[in-house]
Amino acid sequence: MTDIFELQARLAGTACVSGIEQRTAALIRELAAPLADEVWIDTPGNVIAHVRGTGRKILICAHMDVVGFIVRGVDEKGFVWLSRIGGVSLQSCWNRLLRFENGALGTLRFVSGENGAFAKKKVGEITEDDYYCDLGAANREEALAAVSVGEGAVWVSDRRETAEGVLIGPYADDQVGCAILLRLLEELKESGNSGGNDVYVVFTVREEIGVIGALVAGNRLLPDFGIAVDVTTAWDAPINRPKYEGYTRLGAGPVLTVRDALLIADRQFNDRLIAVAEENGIPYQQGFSKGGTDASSFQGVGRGVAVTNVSVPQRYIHTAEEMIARSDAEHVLRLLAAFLSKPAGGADREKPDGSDREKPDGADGGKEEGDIHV
Amino acid sequence: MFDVYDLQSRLVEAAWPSGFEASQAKLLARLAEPYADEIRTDALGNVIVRRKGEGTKIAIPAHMDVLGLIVTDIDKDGYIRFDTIGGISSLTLLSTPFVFEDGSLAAVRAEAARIAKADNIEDFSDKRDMYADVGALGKETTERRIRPGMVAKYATHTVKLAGGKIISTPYADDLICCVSLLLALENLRDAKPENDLYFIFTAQEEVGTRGARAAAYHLEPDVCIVADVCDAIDSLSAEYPIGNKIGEGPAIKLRDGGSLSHRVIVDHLVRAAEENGIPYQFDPMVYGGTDATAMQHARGVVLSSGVSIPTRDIHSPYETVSADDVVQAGKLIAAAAQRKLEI
Repeated sequence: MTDIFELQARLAGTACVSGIEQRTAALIRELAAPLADEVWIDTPGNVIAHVRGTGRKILICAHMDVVGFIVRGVDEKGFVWLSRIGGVSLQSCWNRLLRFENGALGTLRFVSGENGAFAKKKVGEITEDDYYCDLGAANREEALAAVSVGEGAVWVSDRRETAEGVLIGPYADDQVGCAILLRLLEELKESGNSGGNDVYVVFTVREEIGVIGALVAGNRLLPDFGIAVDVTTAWDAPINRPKYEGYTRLGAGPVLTVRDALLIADRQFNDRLIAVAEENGIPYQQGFSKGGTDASSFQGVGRGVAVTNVSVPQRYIHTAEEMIARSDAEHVLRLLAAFLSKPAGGADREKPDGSDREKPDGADGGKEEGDIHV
Repeated sequence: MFDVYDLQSRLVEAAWPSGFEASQAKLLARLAEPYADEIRTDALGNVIVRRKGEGTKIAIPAHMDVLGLIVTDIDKDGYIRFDTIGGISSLTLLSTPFVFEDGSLAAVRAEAARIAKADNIEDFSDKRDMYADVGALGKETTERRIRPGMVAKYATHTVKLAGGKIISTPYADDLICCVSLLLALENLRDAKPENDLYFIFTAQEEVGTRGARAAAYHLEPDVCIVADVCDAIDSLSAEYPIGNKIGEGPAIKLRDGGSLSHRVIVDHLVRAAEENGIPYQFDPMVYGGTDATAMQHARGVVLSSGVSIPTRDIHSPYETVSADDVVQAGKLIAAAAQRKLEI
């Protein structure tokens, strides 16, 4: 049995920004291969691990890409100009150490500007022309020998787990989700019980730039149920604590999303997961978030998919000091395993791929009996 | 043979903020010991390494204290309130990981209301609205590890850039000049200096050059050659246009925010550089003081100048210097220290 946080660290060591997930994908494919009936990499680069069953089709995903930077260009002095990938808050990037794909290191700096112009800007006015990376290169040639245009860059920062089991460090988002899903595959393999469900565990690409990989996977697999396993905002620190009590906290259990910026989760599906949690004595929280996850991308494919998030609550998302609790990650794993140990049900619903219909989808120009045509 | 990167990274890992220098003091004393005629630590914590000579009494200080945080309170939810030790900007606080004495890694963040109110980046946040989070799960769990009075430092480490020519490191200010002093001591091993030399690893510079003042009072030097960092302005992050370039040699101090160098000492350093083929620049430091500020008028008159290391992004968690500038600074300090100085 692999430790979730050790697995997360190993994956985070390979992680790069959206579009540059190949190294992580190769590692996940290698780790997942002995655990599933079939494992493949699809066109956009998602790693799909299939555990066969005859029941309802369930897609469970976590994303492999991380936020960071990509090289836009190098100037004549050898300074590297960057473009942001994903929702990085720039004020938390000042002076950070970056590692480029090929191993070159540099520090992110802000352009001071004439008479301290930068310091007089409003926080929302920071643009891509306000920051650059200093490789210590003497000139353009020296810099271009170290990095090239289009190369990705990620944070290098310390990582530590506290005595109380809180992990502090970069890229829990969503390498912890990937680690949980690898552990889930391990558990399904060991128990040999996936409740007869037809399970697709998908490690997606390009989540941080618009949930693109999951959309492709959802479209292709047309599952009955979809779960994104990601991190979500813990609202328990002074940086974002709301005035009311009852907000989601670190260490208080998996968060079932009620809504986020892109999704209102399927009510029946959430109720089902809550029932599973309660039957198994697994703590849970219901949460709201201002972000979005992979779950939103395929809710509308085919005839529609019942989707939700089962998330690990996290403080300081998209910074180099992301914080998550070990107990939350382990409870997400237990909840998923418990849910999959019995048939997922859903018999009262149509199948998203239309395979339960007399006429296949698209026949008669999509017209169906019962539709009202004007 | 001392190696710049190796010494700097060892000092960085050992160092703690002003007033808490015991660990780096011990390491520095151990490293300097083979090259010293006499070595002692004074009551304030300054480590004083003597090379005996007959002539002018020269103090050569480099400060060994670093910037950091000190815990003032732990709130009802286990978040840590703090004050800074030395000058750390708000943006640096909010974008730098810290580590406490017990090894707890911490993030510093600001309360939401304050971020929303900020008009501009300069005014982005006030440390009164900030807190440090060591993965708090309540007051009690934080208090198991952290108590008021504990200190924290940057949780960043020394790295080589550009194939090792360039070093980016926390606390180049002023551990990299402690390295210059060690290199100078090594260079002087077989020399017979014509001056009476006191190499001093000073305490509490960042909070107001306190160690240097005490050392100057009890050592009564005639001359002070301070080793500290100066602003390199050859990157886009430089905040004003007066300063130096990295990689073009150590900088001979003309002035700083609190001292004017004496012409005789400046000329002495220039001749030492030229006689030994050591590249140099002049350090015209506009803002900020150094140990020379305190030593110059601590007791009677101490004639001062210095050998500075041009440094990009001073007081940030990654300060950038040229490794060769440090090697040359070690040579220049040694050359100036053993060359007869008459005042």
